[in-house]
Amino acid sequence: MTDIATYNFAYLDEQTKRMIRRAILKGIAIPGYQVPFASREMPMPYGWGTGGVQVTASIIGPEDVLKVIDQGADDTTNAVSIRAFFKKVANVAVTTETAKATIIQTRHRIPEHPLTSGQVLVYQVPIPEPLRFLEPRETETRKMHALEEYGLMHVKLYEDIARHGRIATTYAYPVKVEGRYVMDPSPTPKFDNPKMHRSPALQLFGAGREKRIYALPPFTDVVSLDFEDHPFEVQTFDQPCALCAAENVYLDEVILDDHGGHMFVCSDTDHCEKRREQGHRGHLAPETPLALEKTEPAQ
Amino acid sequence: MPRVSAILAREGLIEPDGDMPQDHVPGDITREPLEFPMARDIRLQALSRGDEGFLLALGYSTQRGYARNHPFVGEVRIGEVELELDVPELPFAAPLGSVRVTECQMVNQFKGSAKAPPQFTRGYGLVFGQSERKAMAMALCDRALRATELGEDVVAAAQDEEFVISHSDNVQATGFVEHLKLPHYVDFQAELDLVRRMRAEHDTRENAGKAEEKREAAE
Ligand SMILES: [Zn+2]
Repeated sequence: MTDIATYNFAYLDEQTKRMIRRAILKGIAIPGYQVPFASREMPMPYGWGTGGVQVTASIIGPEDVLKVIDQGADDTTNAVSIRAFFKKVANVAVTTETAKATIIQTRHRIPEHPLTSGQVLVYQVPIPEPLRFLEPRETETRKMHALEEYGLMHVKLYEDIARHGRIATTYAYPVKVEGRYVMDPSPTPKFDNPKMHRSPALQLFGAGREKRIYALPPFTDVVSLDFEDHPFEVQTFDQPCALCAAENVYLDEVILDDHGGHMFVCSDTDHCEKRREQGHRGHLAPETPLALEKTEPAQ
Repeated sequence: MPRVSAILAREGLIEPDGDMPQDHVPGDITREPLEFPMARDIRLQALSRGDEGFLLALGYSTQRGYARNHPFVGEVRIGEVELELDVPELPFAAPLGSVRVTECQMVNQFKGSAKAPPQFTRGYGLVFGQSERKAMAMALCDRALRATELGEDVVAAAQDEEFVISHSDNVQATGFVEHLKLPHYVDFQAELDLVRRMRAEHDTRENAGKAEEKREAAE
C-alpha cells in the first residue's frame, strides 16, 4: 500500500461508522428488534456479508484480533476474502483460533469453543425478518412485531408437526428474545441456537442488503420456539468426527469417492485442528500431524 | 426549453406537475433506509436506479392490461445536466462535470375517481444515459405506482410499491442471486439429515402398511 492509496481506518468514513454505531446501540437497547440503518454500498456484492462487514468495520479497533468463518471454516472463500479485506483496510491482527479472537465475523455457524465475556460475534444476515416467509410484506411484518402478533409463526410450526410429525425447520430456526421479539438467528443450523442463550459474548447481526441491524447483549435470554409436547431439539449425529473423534459437535458430510463413500467431519475447522493437536484421533485421521500458522500479527 | 405537457396544462387538461409540500426535504436513498409507503421523490430515485429489464417488463405488463393506464408519450428528451458533489467539509457544492440523462413525460388517460377529476395524468421517467426505453418504462411504472394517490384499485404487480421498489435494484438482486454460489453446506447438511429421517419414517410406514395388506389378504 502506498501513502496515496490509503483508506480511512476500517474502510468506512467516520460519519458512517457513527451512524452504524448508533444503530448498534439501539439494537443492544432493544434486544432482537431490527433497527433500520443506512447501509452503504461496499466493495463486495450484496448477499456476501456487506452487513456483517459494516458492523465489524464500525466496532473494530487497531488492538482487535479478528477471526472470520464461513460454514464454520476459516479457509472458505468468503471468510478468506473478508479477513484479507480487514488486514488491508484496518491492519489488524487476524487469527483462526476462536479463543484468541476479540471479534469473530461469521456466516452460518457459531464456533464450538464457548465464547467468553469481551468477545463480539458478528453475524452476516441475508434475510433478517423471521416472518418473511410467512408474510413477504415489510409493512405487515413490522406491524406484527410492534403488536407482538406471532400467531402466524406458531401456526406454521404447528402445521409442520401435523404434516411431518415434527417441526421441519433445521436452520434459521426462529427464537424469542427476552420474551419479546421473535428473531431470525441467521441461517445457522438449529444446532447452534442454544449457544446464543445467555452467551457472555455480545452478538451483533448485520443485514446489508435489507438494511437492518439487530443485537443480543451478553446474557440475553434466547429461546427457540417450540411446543410443550414437541420441545425444541438440536441435530444429533450417529458418529463422531472422522478426524478428531469429537462428539456433540456439528458435522459436515464430505464425499470421498464417486461411489457414495463419505465421512463426517467437524464443520468448525479450528475446533477440529485444536483437538487433533491435543492428540484426539478419528478413524480417518492422517498420520502426519498438522503444523499451521494460526495467528498473524498486525503489520 | 418548455415541455410539451405545459401546452396541455394551459387548458387544464393535464394534472399539474407533482409538487412536494413547501417544507419537504428531498429524501436520499443512498443515505436513508427505505420505508414503505414512501414519498414520490424517494420512489422516483429508486426507479431511476432500477434495473432496466425489470422496469421494462413491469411497464409492458401495464400495456397488456395489468393496471392499464392508456399511455401516450408526451415527450422524450435527452440532455446534459450538471453534476455537483456536496462535500461536508466544503461550504459550496463542487462541480464535477455533466452527465447525459433521458427524460420522459408520459401522458395517461384517466377517467377520474373519488379522489381526482377526469383528466390526463402524468408518469415520469428520468434515467442516466441515452436510454429512451428505460425512461419510458420508468414513466409507465411511476404512473402505475400512483394508484393509491389517484384512488385506483391496486390489482397488479406494477402498482404494488413494496413489490416493485424492493426488487428493482439490480446490484442488490445480482448480489443475492449470485451469493448462491457461496457454500451453504452447513444448512444443506441440516436439510439432508431431516429429509433422510423423514424418508426412513415414510418407508417404515409404507412397509408396515404393505405387511398389513398382505396379512388381511391372507385371512
Ligand atoms: Zn473434528
